[in-house]
Amino acid sequence: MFERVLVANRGEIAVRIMRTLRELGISPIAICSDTDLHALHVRMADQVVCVGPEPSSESYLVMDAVLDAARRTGAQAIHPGYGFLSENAEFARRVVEAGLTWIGPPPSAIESMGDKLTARRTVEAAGVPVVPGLSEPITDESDALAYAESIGFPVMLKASAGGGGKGMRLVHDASDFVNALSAAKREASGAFGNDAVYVEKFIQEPHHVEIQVLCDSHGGAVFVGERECSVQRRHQKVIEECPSPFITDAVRQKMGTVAVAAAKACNYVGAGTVEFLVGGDQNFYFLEMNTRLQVEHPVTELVYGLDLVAHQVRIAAGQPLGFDQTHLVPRGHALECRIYAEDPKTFLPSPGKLTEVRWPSGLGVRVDAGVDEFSTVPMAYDPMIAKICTWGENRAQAIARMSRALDETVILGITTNIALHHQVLAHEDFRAGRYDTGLLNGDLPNDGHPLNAVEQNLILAAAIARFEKDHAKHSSADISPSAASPWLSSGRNRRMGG
Amino acid sequence: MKYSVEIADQIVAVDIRPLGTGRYQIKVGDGPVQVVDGTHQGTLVHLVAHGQSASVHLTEVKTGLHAHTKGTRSQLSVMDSRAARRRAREKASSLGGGNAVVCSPMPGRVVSILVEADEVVKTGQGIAIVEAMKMENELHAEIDGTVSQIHVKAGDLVDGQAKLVTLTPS
Repeated sequence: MFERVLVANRGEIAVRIMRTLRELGISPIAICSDTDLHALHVRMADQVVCVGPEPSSESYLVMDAVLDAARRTGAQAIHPGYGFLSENAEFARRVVEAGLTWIGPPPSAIESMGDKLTARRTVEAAGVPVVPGLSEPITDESDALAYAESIGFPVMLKASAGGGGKGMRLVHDASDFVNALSAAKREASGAFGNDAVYVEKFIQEPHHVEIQVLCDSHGGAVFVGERECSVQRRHQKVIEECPSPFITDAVRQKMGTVAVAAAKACNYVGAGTVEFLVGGDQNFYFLEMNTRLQVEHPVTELVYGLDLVAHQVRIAAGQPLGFDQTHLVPRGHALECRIYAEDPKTFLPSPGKLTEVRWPSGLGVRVDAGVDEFSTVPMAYDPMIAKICTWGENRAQAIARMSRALDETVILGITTNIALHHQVLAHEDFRAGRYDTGLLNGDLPNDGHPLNAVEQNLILAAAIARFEKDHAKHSSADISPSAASPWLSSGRNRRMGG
Repeated sequence: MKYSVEIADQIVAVDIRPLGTGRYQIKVGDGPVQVVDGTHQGTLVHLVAHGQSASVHLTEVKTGLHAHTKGTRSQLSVMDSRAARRRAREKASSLGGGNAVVCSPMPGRVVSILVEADEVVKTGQGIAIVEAMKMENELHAEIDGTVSQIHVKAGDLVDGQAKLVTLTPS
């Protein structure tokens, strides 16, 4: 087993990986940008190397700098997390060439699955159903528009190198096509350094269901259930759950078998995720394979009782899985709420300094956070600051527990999307497990969380705080005699800095 | 002591009187007089009223207070009578009219300015695109008018509330 592993990432995923490394007796090494020098993931590590200035294109994405950091710190392996260099085959290859272990699939598997268009062709050849669409990037706007019209609007534009909803645009109408295409290309270019965009038919009322696979380097391969990721906003996942409340057991088995076959077709090794679109008729279509750890992997860990990161590390060290499909039995239900630094009404980002952070705890609650009360959320990176997960014996308990956990959460200094989570959790269709990716497109009922009932308390609290402040600033002369005990006023003055 | 509290677009009158040892008599708007035990430590205000327990975290921001309870945050501000009168006048004069200045709602990078000087724009029209946290956000005109001034250019880094484009109402 490794003694030192470099985590080539930041935020909650770097923290999450380092926790498992510690449990395995491995010393974690961080990299950071100038801005992140005192970030939580750096504080969790034994060693740190600053790899460049704030923009990720000049730090976290610079292969030479990351490889140099690994060399200088004596790292034996690199865990890339998700995003950044995690699905970059060239980087994976250079890691291996440098004599280090890449905690991820072989570069060739990243190549055939990492690029959405290549992946489409690969699985199509293996007989896996795919969504109708162009299998080449758009070079000519008018040809692409003609094709879009031939398969019929709405269509989806997608960055070929994409993920996380960046470089994606839903186009309802031919007149919006050209504008949407240039926006998608711009976002793709900014986020991935590659502006290739392709077009495919948009499946109506779709569900986004993905299968977790684990493959060792000895031919062992299993699927670890599915995750339902249909609560999305601007094509970005907001809430995920395991198991899916939508698909039938027969479909689950079929999707799992197909996912393992797809992984084997590209000689996959490690943890990977095969994403599917599932129509209302339970027909499923391959979307893409993510050749890395997923953001929402914790719900699988909670329901299947395993540590996916530990398995990634063991597989990379050449160990066999040590179990087969029959050992994987789901237990209960898990939910994940992604906490974004953004306004829940306008969806605008809200970077800034955190002044107070309190995470929930108690039975069945798991928090994966990339920040604490000493953190600043920079403008330059992804707005997801934490994931709150709950486990319950059944779905209703997991939902009730999540609602309770969100109530306990305190994040001051920035705005988060917690109010949106409350609305979704209170939504009748969500509670019934009857929803698709369109859930957040319509208007959410405003009275999801009874804010009006708490407004009264906010007013009381604010008035008391203001009164104490004003009173501390002036003298205690205007206070009523019963309150003006020397002990009380001196205590107050001390507290208020007066 | 009388204050006015602005919350969710409403201004509510609050009358607060200390009863000693952290106990207050408080009347909110037209509501009944309540007796509330409150303690304020750091950001926390813990309230006990009619046997009900509630925790509120308060933090001061430029525009007032962020109050946080049960995972949900609200913006409010507490004003004395003079500030309340000033605020009431502001609200009255801005009624029905949007802001003539298009500002960046958050720190970010200007991706592009979608209008030119002297261009006539309509309410809801895209004025500028600002990128923050890897997402592009289109900012719209709140009024019908003419572009009188463009304060920034593509590629500029801007602070939250930075002026991007000024419109002259038509």
